[in-house]
Amino acid sequence: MTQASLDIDAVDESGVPGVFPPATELAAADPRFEAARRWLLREATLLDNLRQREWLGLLHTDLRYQVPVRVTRWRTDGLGFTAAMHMDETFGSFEGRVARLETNFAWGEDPPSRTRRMVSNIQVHQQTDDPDRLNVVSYLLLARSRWDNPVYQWISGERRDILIGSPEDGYRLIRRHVLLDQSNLGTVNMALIL
Amino acid sequence: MTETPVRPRPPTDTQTRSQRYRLADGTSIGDLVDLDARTVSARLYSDAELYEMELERIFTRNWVAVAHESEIPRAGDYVTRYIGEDPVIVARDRAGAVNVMLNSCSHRGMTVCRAEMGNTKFFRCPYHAWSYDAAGNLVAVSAQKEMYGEDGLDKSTLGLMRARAEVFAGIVFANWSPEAPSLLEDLGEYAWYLQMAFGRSSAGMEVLGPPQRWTFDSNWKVAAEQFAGDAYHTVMLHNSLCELGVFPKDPTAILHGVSAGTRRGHALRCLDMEPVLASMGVSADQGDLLQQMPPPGMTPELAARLSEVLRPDQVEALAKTPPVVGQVFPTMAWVNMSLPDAAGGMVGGVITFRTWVPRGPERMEILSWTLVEKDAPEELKQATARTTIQTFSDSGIFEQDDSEAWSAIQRSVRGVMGRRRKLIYTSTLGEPTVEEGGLHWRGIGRDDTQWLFWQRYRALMLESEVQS
Repeated sequence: MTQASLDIDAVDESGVPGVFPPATELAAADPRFEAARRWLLREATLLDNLRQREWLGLLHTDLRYQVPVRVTRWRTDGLGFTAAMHMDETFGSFEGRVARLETNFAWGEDPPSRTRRMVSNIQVHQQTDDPDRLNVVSYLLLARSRWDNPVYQWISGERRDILIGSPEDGYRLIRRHVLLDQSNLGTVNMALIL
Repeated sequence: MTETPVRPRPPTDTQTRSQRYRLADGTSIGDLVDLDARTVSARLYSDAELYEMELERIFTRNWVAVAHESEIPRAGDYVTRYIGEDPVIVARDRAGAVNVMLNSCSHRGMTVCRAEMGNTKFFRCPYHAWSYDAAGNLVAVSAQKEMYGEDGLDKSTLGLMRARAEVFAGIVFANWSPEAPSLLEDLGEYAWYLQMAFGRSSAGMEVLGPPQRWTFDSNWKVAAEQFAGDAYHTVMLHNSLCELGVFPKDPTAILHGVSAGTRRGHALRCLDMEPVLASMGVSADQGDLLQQMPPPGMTPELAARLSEVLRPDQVEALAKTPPVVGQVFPTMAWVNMSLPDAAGGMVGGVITFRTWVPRGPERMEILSWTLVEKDAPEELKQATARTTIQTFSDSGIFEQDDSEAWSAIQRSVRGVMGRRRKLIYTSTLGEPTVEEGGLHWRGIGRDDTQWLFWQRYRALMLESEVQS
């Protein structure tokens, strides 16, 4: 298995970090599109139901996962993504984070938030040079409810994922960029997986 | 160029001294920090009247960190930030100086610069197109002759309101008060430590991008008093990391060290490296310790060059009792510590400074910068940034529990009975020793430097200084 097409550090011409390798868009009727869609829904179900340990099973061990800091910029200066990160993760760091949750001393999420991940605007492309790799774009709207506070903490953004596998054997996440919309997050912390 | 001085207003005839230092209900502000009992009134965390006084008496008269100079390396580079609730522009001019000025047009108050970062020759107000240079001078007024006549407007008096700006160890501080001492005078003995943490190489440090920003329900002082020396909380609030073996199970191993601070409320913790090194199988008298365990973000080669900028006593302190966490009064906190990342790997270490920005009596914003040594190899820079983000940041496995605690404290002290609570700072190691690095307390970290924070806070709210 090669990582050659993981150009996670590159930036495209509009300043968006992480460049997808060349690919062809798949029709919604394509089984790979449906497999990617179901993968995203399963992920949301696991994460919204505190099944983070099972979520690790959706990940490739070579995973890189980044959430860049975004700033307000003039229109001519691009979309405002920066080299700074809110999260910069690997499979190993997520294993550590999940193990920490399981210590029952990870107070930032204990009691846990009640969350609802709404996943939409799904687009799936098959990579030209590697039919086992799908470029998957989805929008995420995450409602986070803490304690008895009736005011939600919202996180919205676009996820740019690379899934590796096949409809028969299942897919694993090997790369993710979460492109947030807020420059100043209205949330007590980023203790959630996006 | 115009300077609009911000002066402490002395008590007037109609407002006697005693009124000025009392709240509307008659409470004496001095009583809220009880110097004899070493308690602090929880009312300080939610009171709107006190909050307005803080904005005036603390945030217009002290050195507030706003940026790192590597964010604006070239002429015309700028970022926009806050001092208290006042938005400011931090810009580098053509002479290379860093300027900090109120982001509000001298004409009608419009936000002159509405982007967070960029590069520009002039800041042109979008409202009526008054234009300012990077030092805040008003250089052009649109249709000036038509609107104001030949001599109707003296541009030289209408620059943006400027704060004093000074840089130490790469960190840009600003102060509105022309009467305040210089940054170096204010830091005093603390500069000796701050240089070890952020100014220990000839190339200096650089930020990896702009700061993270996040905002939540807690008073700014809840975070500030913790970073002023609360070693105690680590063993419980961060117990998940003890459970995982990231931190030693024996709390004394983390709590042991030296607390240092100054009467101006600056505070820090130094870690006793002997037990840390022993746990790694390194004896403290075994060769050059800095070669075996370089400071965060440094290679052994960089560590060998520490003496290019640090004095011998600083180099020795970095090896044996390095400063690991601290705070410059009022709101610049920092971490400089070797810690494992979320995967348990020990690479790079943690280098961050952050500011607590007041956003109302019960709300704060955190800005958190990630730093690396400019001369470090690219791979080490990335590892340092990753370790920092995974530990001390909005998503950090340490800090996500801190911000949870800070908002929980807010919830529990804001009610009528909660506000009457007295918060306890009675744990003390006694009288400090006075040395070059300021006031020192050796041993298990107690409340002593946090008390320095509250003593200075109290003095400033009474518009006085702490007596030593």
